[in-house]
Amino acid sequence: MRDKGIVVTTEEDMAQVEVQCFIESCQNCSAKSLCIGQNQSKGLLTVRNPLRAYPGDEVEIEIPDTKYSRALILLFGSLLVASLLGIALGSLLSPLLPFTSSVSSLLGLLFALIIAGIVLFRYFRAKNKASLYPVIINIMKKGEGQG
Amino acid sequence: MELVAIFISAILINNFVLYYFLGICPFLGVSKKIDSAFSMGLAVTFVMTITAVVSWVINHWILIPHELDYLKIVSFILVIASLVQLVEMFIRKISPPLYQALGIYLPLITTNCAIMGLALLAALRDYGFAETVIFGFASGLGFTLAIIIMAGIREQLDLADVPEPLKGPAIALIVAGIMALAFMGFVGMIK
Repeated sequence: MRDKGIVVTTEEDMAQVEVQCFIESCQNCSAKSLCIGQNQSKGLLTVRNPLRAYPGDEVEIEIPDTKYSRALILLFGSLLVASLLGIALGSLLSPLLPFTSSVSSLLGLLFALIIAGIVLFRYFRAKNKASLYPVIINIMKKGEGQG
Repeated sequence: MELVAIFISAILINNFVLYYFLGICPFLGVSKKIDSAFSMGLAVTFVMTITAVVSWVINHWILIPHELDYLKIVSFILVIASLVQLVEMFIRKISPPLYQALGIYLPLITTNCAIMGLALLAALRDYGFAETVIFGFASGLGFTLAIIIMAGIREQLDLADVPEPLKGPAIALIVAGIMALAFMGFVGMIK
């Protein structure tokens, strides 16, 4: 998915891009304000800036929506599997623990969610940090004063 | 045997989307592509499973013993909102770009009436702990099944010659209606 915007600020390899709307179909969405702010129809996106665009440049950005779907499947899939395993394990181990079946299932769920949370935290921090940001793929028009 | 019946019933017979018509907002809003529909289905299944567990705990350990049944709806709303807020905070912490990209996606889960319907139905039917977990998980799977089938049909519809007045939400609603009729064929599967 692609969108257009104007670079507002840059910092190292990243830039803040002001987009009119996150995606074109958002223009007619009644919940637009929840995504891109109450008072204005503009939103600021943090994007990767491999083309070294400068503030004022009009740019085209690529939004990696397939990567978002995969990341969400991984995220919620892992949390779901961990929850079910935790509940099942807690229930199975309840005869060995001084709790009722429901309490040990709850403890199992809590324990599994904490472990899954830590694993996901480390995974996303290590591997996906940069690649999930939208990226500037084209500088359509240079800003004033940059030739 | 009863757990199996609850499981199959929640997926096919009493499907939250196609039988109760709950959760229609994400069902229509995030069913244009199969992969995004699948990720939405997983997110809803996770939130449904956890909501089922937490609402059971609140209902059986706090509300019923203290005769506070009338606070059921308020407390379930609080539980669901808190859970989704926690998930949102977690995503914000582990992956800021993903959080930035989600936009309306997570509030769609919060305001999804299927989640609230699940908590209330489980309380109404007076399920035990294991039954509630199975019911929550299977209801989520039912939602995922419905949204994936819908996404598959809508992907095909993009290539079809749909009359101009029916394009968009109109044809989506007609498809949803036909799907609901088709799923009625499962009624009577479990007696």
